[in-house]
Amino acid sequence: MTSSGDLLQGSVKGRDGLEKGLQEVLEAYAKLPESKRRPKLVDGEVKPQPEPPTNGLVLTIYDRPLVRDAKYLYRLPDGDDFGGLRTHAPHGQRSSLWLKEEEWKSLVPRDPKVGQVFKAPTKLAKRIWLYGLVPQTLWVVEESWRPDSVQAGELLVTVEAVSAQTVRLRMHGSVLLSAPGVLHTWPERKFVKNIENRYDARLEGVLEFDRVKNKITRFDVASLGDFSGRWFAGNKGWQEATRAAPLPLGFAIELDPTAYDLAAERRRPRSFMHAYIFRGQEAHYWDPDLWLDEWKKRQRQ
Amino acid sequence: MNPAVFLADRAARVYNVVVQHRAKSQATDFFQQENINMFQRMMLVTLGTALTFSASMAQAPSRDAIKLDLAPQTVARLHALIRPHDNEWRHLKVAWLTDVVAARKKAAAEDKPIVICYTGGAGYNEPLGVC
Repeated sequence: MTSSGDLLQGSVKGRDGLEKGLQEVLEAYAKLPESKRRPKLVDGEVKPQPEPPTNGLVLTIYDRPLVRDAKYLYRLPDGDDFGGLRTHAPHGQRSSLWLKEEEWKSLVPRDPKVGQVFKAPTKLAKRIWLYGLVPQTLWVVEESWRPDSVQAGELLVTVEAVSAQTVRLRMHGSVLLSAPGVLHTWPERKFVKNIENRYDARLEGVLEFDRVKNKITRFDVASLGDFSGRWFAGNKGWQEATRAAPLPLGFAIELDPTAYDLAAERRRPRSFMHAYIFRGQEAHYWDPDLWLDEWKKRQRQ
Repeated sequence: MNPAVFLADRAARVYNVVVQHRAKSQATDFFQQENINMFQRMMLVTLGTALTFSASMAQAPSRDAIKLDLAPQTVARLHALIRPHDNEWRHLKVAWLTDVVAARKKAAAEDKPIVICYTGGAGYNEPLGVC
């Protein structure tokens, strides 16, 4: 496309055809008059993506189903795994979770001692579970957890090492999430049956806090567990993973190191949960208990 | 004692008795040994059934539960497996502009065309994130 809004043609043929297609675009662009290439006025207003909270933390979260082999080793799905069916996003999906300064600071003791174990604040744990462990690879934005989805869970932090420079923390815990879902045909969307979406998982990982820079410099946490419920297999439509034959589902959580360094016009948008589910309800994103309270009120009406 | 643990303990004891008996008699068929009486067989079956029932009622995670494979020793490998590999999400190696007007202004200033990365559908692998 040109800066004046004209579309440029280039055709991509095959997996390796992008380079040739882009070359065609460049050639088409070069043939345009300067008035089209360099308009004197580009109208419109720059509206950067919202800025993450001051001194906060932006976590990137990837999710995808895995396969466990007979030796209890994990790999990506291949061949006849899952009956030959695949998610429509073979490389997994990417999401994010914003933490406020007080939230990440609640994970770092003021006077850390090796071996010290404490519970992460419940509200933060719920935010990680409900807004972070959303299997977009399986649900493709048609499902989300409900405010009452946390059936059980705890999130602990153990101080593993302390030096003048760094505090190393182990984050570990478990969660059981459950929400009603509907299985329907695809693309006709005919009702098949009601099902339960369920994720029974552990969380495990390492956080590092730089005492000199006063910031978290590492947040590598994984979640692994059984997922049962509905999942999307692209053109093969919606499938059901049963409790008897669940999908091994993993999440990888890590720090987004660029979030606070990017220019405003390059800022990454907020997550689907944040920008869409909580559009107009920003407070619910920050307080899952408030989300639950208001949801209960609506249920009673 | 947890009922499931108690029953497991009892079943194990009966099983041990049976196995020891078997070793002494050098019999080839477990249930054909003359020294194992009907009572022991019934006890084994009954306790086994009770154990299964009790365990399912308690919904204790089986040793096959996926979550049990995540531990401090395995987390690094699993984390690396889940997150994108070198040959995946390569479009994120591009420093995208996330505002169209900003992109148009920059393109006009630099006399360059704009490549728009848009993947239709439910936001699969969108540089901007899931729609």
